[in-house]
Amino acid sequence: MSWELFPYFAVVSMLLSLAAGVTSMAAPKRAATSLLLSWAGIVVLGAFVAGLWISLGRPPMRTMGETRLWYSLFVMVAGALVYRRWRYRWLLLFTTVLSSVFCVINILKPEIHDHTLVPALQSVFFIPHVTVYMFAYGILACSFLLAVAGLVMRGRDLFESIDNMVYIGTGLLFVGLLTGSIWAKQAWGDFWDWDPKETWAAMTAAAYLVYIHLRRTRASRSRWLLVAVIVGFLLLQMCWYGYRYLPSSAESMHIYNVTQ
Amino acid sequence: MLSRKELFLHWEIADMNRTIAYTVAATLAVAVVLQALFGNPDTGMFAFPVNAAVLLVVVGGLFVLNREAGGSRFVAALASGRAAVTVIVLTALCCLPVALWPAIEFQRSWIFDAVMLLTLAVLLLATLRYRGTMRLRFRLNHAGLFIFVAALFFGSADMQRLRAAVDLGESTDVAYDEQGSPHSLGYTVTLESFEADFYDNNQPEEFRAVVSVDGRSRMLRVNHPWRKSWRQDIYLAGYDTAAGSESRYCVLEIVVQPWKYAALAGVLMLLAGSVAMIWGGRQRVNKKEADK
Repeated sequence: MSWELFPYFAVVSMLLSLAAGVTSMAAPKRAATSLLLSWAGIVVLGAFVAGLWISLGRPPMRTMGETRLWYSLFVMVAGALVYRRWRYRWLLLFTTVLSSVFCVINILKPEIHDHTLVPALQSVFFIPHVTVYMFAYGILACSFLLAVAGLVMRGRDLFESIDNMVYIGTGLLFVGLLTGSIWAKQAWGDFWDWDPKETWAAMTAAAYLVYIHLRRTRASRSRWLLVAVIVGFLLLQMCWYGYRYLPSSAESMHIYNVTQ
Repeated sequence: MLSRKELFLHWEIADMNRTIAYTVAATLAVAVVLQALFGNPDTGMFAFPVNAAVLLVVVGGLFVLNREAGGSRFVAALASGRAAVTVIVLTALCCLPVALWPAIEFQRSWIFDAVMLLTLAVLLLATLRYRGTMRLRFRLNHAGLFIFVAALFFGSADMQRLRAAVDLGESTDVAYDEQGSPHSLGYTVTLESFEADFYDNNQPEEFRAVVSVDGRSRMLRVNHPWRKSWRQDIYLAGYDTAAGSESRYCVLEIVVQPWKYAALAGVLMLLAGSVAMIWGGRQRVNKKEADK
C-alpha cells in the first residue's frame, strides 16, 4: 500500500460517508442504512491506514499528513458512534465534511512519502499517545459541531450529548497529555518543559475543564458554555498544528524536521 | 418574584464570588509587587529544604484551616467550583505569554507562581471537602493533579540539568550547568563506544553509546536513559552530527530530579482518573450539589 493509492480509498470512503449523511438527512427512519454506509466508509479508510502501516514498516503517525489520516478516520468513527447513540440527523453530513477536508489536504499535498522515524519517536508511547490524541480530537470535533448547532438552533438542548463528548474527549486528551509527559521524561529528561506544543495543550485542556466545572456549578448561561466548547476546539487546532506557524515554534522539540 | 430561599441563594453566591475575587486580587497584588521589586524569583532560593518546608506549611495550613474553619465562607469559596473555574482561567491566561513569547519566561515569574499556589490551594481544599457523587474519580483527578503540579512546582528548585561532552575512551567526573558552571558528579563516567545508523536520506535512525560508571556499563539510546539512582538519570543527548557514525565524542546529560517519583505518582493517579472519566462519562449533578 502506498500514498499513490490514497485518492482512490479516500474518494470511495468519502462517497460512502456522504451517502450516509444524505440518507440520514433525507430519510431519518433509515438510520440503520445510514450507519451501515457510514461504517463502510470507515472500513475503507481504515483498510488504507492498515495497509500503509504494513508497507511503511512503522505506524503512520509521524508526519502531519499521517496524523491527518487518523483524524479523518476518528472523526468518522466518533460521528458514527454519536449518531448511533443520539440520532442527530445532520451530524453524519458534518463529520463527512470535516473528515473530507483533511483527506483533500492529504491528496493535494502528496509530499508525505517519508519512511523514516527519528529516534525520539521510537518509543512504546508513540502509538498510544498519538492514537489517543487523534481519537480525542475526533470526539471533540463532534462536540464543537454540536456547540455551533446549539448556538444556531436556539431552544434545542444539546447539552446531554455535548457533556458526554466533552467528558470522554477531555479524558482522552488527558491520557494523551500524561502518556506524553512520561515519554518526555524518558526522551528529554523532564515531564514538562513549557514547549510551545505542551503549553497550547495545557490551554486546550483548561478550556474543556472550564466547561466541565461551569456545567457542574451551573454558574453560566448556556450560550457561554457553548462558547467555551468552541474556544476549546480552536485552542485544540493551535495545539495540533497552529503553533507551527508562530515564531515561538522555532525552538519546539515537537517539530521533528520532517515533511509537513 | 424570587422566593426567600432563592434570594438567600443569590446572596450566598454573590458573597462567594466576592470572596474569591478578593482572595485572587490580593494574592496577585502581592505577586505583582514582588515582581516589580525583585524581578523573577531566584529558583535556587527555594532549593531543599526550603521548598519542602513551604509545601508542608501550605498543605498543613490548608488542612488545619479546613478542620478548624471548614464552615467559613472563605474556605467554602476556595473549595468551590467557581474558584476552580477562576484558577483554571487564570492558568490558561498565564500560559498565553509562555506560548507566544517563550523568551520572557513568564512561567518563572512571581505572578505565575502565585497562580500556581492558588491552584494548589483550590485543588487541595476541593479534594478534602468533596462529598458528591463519583468520589473516587473526583479524588484521583484532583489529588493526582495536586501531586503532579506540586512535585513539578516545588521540585523545580532541586532540579539540575548538567551536560558533559565525553571523548571516546575518555572519562569525566564533572558536568556543566546551563550557565557553564562545573558540578562534580561524585563518580567517573567513561564513554566506551558509540554507533549510529542512518536512513538513506541521512536522517538518524538510531544512535547509541556504551558508557560505564565505576565498572558497571550500560547502553544509552534516545528514550532509554540510565536510571543511575532514585534522583538521577543519564541521557545520551548528542554527538558530532557532522562526523555521523564516526563521531569521536558524545554529549551526556545528567538530570537530577529528586521529585520525579512524586510527579510520576501524580501522573498515574491522574491517568486512572482520566480512564474513569472516559469510562463513566458525564457526571450528573443534582441541584443541591450544584448549589453547594
